[in-house]
Parts: sequence; C-alpha cells; structure tokens
Amino acid sequence: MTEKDLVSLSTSVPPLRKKTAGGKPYVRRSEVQAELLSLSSNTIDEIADQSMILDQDDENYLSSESILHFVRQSKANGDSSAYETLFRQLRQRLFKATPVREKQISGSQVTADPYQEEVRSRVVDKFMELLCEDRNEYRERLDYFEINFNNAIAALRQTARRNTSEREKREYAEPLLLYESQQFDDDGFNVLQNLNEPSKTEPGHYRFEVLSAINDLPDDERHVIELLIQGYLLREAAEIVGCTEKTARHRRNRARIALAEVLGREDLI
Amino acid sequence: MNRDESRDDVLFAFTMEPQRDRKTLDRYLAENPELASDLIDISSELRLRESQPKDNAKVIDDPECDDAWNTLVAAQPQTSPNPFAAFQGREFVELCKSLRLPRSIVAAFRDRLVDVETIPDRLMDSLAACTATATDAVTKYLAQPPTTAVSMEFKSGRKPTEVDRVTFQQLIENTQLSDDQRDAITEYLGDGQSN
Repeated sequence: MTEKDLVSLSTSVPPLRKKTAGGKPYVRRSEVQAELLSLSSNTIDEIADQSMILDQDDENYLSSESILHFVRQSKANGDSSAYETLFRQLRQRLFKATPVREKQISGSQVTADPYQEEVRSRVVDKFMELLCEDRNEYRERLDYFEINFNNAIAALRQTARRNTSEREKREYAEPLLLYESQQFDDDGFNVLQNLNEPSKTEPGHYRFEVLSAINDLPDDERHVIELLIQGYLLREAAEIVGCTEKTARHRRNRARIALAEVLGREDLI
Repeated sequence: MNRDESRDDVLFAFTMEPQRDRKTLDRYLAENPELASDLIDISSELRLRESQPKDNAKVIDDPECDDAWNTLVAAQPQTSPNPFAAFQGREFVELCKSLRLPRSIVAAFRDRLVDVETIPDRLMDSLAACTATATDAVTKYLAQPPTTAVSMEFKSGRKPTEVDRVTFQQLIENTQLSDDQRDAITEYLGDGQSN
C-alpha cells in the first residue's frame, strides 16, 4: 500500500490525539496504519482469532499496536468474548515485552529473577491503570503504545526500574570477580562500539548475550559502557554521568573484566 | 501535569524517536540533563530488546487475567464520553474545517440538538474519524439528552422543559452554507437521501 493510499483511507482509522512537545500530532507507524486499514472490513471475532497467532513470522500475525487499538475500542462497542480474547493476547504481549530471566538452582528446578518479576509487576499494574483510565476518558498517554508498543513499554520499565531497589537487582546478578589492579589502554574496545551496528557484530543470538551481560552491569558501569557504545569519548561520557574521567575509566575497566568473564571473551579485555 | 508525568513524557517521547543515535541522545541529554541516567538506560534497553531472539510459541502463565479483565470492564463509564470534549477554541474550528461544516452545525451536534436518526451514515463516520472516536460511541453520545437541558438542571431551581431536537434536514435548511459546505453535505448525503 502506497503512502497516497494510506492518506486517502486514513479517515477510517481514528487518528491519535497525543502531540509531540512541538505540538505536532503523533501518527502511527505506516505498517501499523496499513494493518489497521486491512482489518477494517473484518469482524471483531475474526480479528480476535487472528490475535491468537503466536508465530511472528506468520503473515497474519497481528502487531501489539493493533491489538491494543481494538482493546481500546471495546469501551464503545461492548465487552464481548472477542474483546476479552484480544485483552488476553495483549497481556501476553505485555509479558513478552517485560521478560523475566529464570535461573537454574538445582537439577531441573528454576527460579525467576525476583527483581525482574517486581519490575514486570509494576509495568503491568501501570499499563492496566492507563487502560482503565482510558475507558472513562481518552488517555493520550496510551497513544504511545499504539505508535510503538515495545518501546513505550521500555519507558514504563525504566520508571519501574527506578522505583525498584537496586539492591535486589545486584543480589540476583551473577557474581563477578574484579581485578582492580589490571591495566588497560584506551584503545581496543571496538567490539562495544560495533554493537551499535548490528551488521558489524556476530550472529544475533551472541549479540543479545553481550547486550544482556551489559544490561546486568551495575548502573554506574553500564552508563559508561552505553555511552561508549554510542560513540562518546571517555571524557565526554564522564561529563554526562557527572564523574571524573579517571572514575569513568575505572568503571569502564571493571565492566570490561566483568563482561569478558561472563562471556568468555578475551577480546573484551 | 505533575513532575513524574512530565519526566515520563520525556522518556516516552525518547522511545518514540525514529532514530535513537548519538545525535538524538545528545539532544535529549542537552534538554533534560537531570534525566541522563534514565535516557542512557533506555537507550541500552531498547538495543537489547531489539536484538532479542523471537519467542514464538511460549504462552506465559497469567492467573490474574480474569480479574484484570473484570476490573477493566468495571471501569466502563456510565454515560458515553463526549467525543467533542477535546475540541475547544481553535481545535473546534479545525474540527469544523475537517468536516467542511459551519461551526453552528457542529455545535448543534456537540450539544446533541440533532435527532441522531436523521444524521447521514457518512457524516456519522466522518464525525467518528475526526474526533478519533468509534462510530458507535458517537451515536451513543448523540442519542443522550441535549446538553442544554442537562445544564439547566443545575442552573435553575425549576424542572427543565424538554428541548425539541431538529432533524438534520431542518438544520441545514436553516443554516447559511458556503459552496464548499454545500458540496460536503451533498457528499455526506450520498444519493441525496438523508437517513
């Protein structure tokens, strides 16, 4: 479907109301808008059935943004079982966007990371609060989730993380051995900068492992590493996080050792 | 908007950016230095999530789903929300322009002074689209008693009298229309027939 087609048909899908800080209305991503338009002639029962497709490679797999769109419509169109199905699928998407790591404790026994469980619980509660408020009066903040569901959830996760104790997180993270005396030069850490360009890094699953390990670092180390990935110099990173260059270097070095140990990658040192 | 909501809106806006490169991060850091930790964390988080392998088949246990659905259903408002509520002042004028109708006609819809049964289907669809409200919700809103009668109940000690509604046809016959507005109404009426 061309942009022209989308524009000419756009009146059959209600536009979003949320505006940018500059006063410009947010619009759905073109693929979401096209999907909603293609569904406009389907019954709600057909759409609910389609929402149950779990295979993301299936051509009929529905985006989370579209599922949310129809769940929001339920306030005006009744609460039939089709809307309940859509709501169930929406919660599944919510859970998948807030993953909780499981850790093997003995044999086949696993336990969920309590920190990540707490974060997920807070995200789900906040999202449900927004949905309920939207039933009474249009809640513009929910528009963010119709634009990019997973990214909007990331913003909610950040708020939830801020409000969840850092201590809990550290208690669960893998123990890291630190070699404080090890010396590093400032070069040779390109493997991290390449993470910003997926085409330059190794297979997808390994990239995810590296990024997960970075995500597990203590906040102060992770912040420095993230800025280095973005291409900032150590001096610039120090200025942004509000510490001296020496402290930033220390954090980076600790992170490098920790990552190398977790990932078994000598090239990170 | 309180401080937390304002902070969250910055974070939401950041996650909506089509490009989250250094240039974008620079801009947000410059405008919101107090949110540096949050912005850096989100930047890291989004990269991680984008690289996450697809998890196609797994269904996550959700024992609280039934309660959550019942809570959502219970949040249903007793009266249909006003689809025109967000359109005040200049935005109301823009709404009229979008509909290609004079303000007096749109105000009559807003105040529920028009018999809903006489409004052409195409116009109902346009009202729904332009106010970002489902057509059923617009219909339910317009079917409620006129707002003038409702407001009088609070302003006067005496019982309000019934306000007579007009048909859509009566409304356009008593309104001065420009050529464009006349064309728009002809399009709304389709084959020249109102409901």
